[in-house]
Amino acid sequence: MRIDTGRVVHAGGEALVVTVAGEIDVLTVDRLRAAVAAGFEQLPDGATLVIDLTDVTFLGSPGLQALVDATRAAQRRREPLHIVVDHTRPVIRPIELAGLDDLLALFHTVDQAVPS
Amino acid sequence: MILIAFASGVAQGCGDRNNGAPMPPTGNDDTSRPDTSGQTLCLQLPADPIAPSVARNWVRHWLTVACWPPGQQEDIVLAVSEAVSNAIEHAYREDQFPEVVDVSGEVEAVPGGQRRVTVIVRDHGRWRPPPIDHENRRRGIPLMRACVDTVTIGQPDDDRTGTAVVLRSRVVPALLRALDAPDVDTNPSHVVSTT
Repeated sequence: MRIDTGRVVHAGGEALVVTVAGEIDVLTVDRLRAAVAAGFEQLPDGATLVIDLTDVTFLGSPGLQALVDATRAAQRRREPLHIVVDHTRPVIRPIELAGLDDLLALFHTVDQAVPS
Repeated sequence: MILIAFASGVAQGCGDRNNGAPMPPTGNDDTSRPDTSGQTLCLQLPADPIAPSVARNWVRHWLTVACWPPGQQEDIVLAVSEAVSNAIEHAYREDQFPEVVDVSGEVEAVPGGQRRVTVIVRDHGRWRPPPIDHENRRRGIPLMRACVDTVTIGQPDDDRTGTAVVLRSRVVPALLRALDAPDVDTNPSHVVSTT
């Protein structure tokens, strides 16, 4: 699994985008958690934290739990957390099966996830 | 150390037919039997965090060789991955030998001309009820139940310790075997590429 974090600046806002590629499971989920925690620490005031899962090829319950924990942490910090899933079935399917498509703030593209 | 045996051809199973697992409850009209032209899956994996990904790759390959519909494949792969992840947590290290997780699978013919697979994930750790407050397990078991037709979790019938999870998939159409339709791919061993 690869993780990269970068800043995206649009005319209407700024985001820190954590891009994940590959499989998220018990073997790799701790790295996702660490990247999200670091993202919250580095997040500029007023910016949005975005987790881009477009290139994720597998998502199981460890990853789902990490996304839920990240969302709850964002709510406690009163900072927005947007999750990009587009229409990739390996990610959408488990999110829907677990009934998390209401709790998680889901977007189809990174562009849509960054405030504009 | 990963020991893998992958048998194809006439269904045999890994040792005893059900790998020591309790037989799942079946309805009165369920008379599924091993598909004698199907393939079996037989894996033995180390009980460590690499195991779910190895299991996923082999289950995907096994289902592709069996010409399983791609949409149904991912649900089965997800369920097996969850079961293997849980099995890792059941395992405990003994000095004499490393813990292993057994994954066995069979293609079955179902009345009405359809097929399904049954996959059994078996660990050998001391049986203990799942910790109620474990987050992954709280999500993992409902996720498994949403992915396949039935999930049976219990202590194996044999006198070995451990937990066996029996996953029975939803049914899918039978493999086409129309020999008089020249435009139909009738080679059941044709590998369908997956991305």
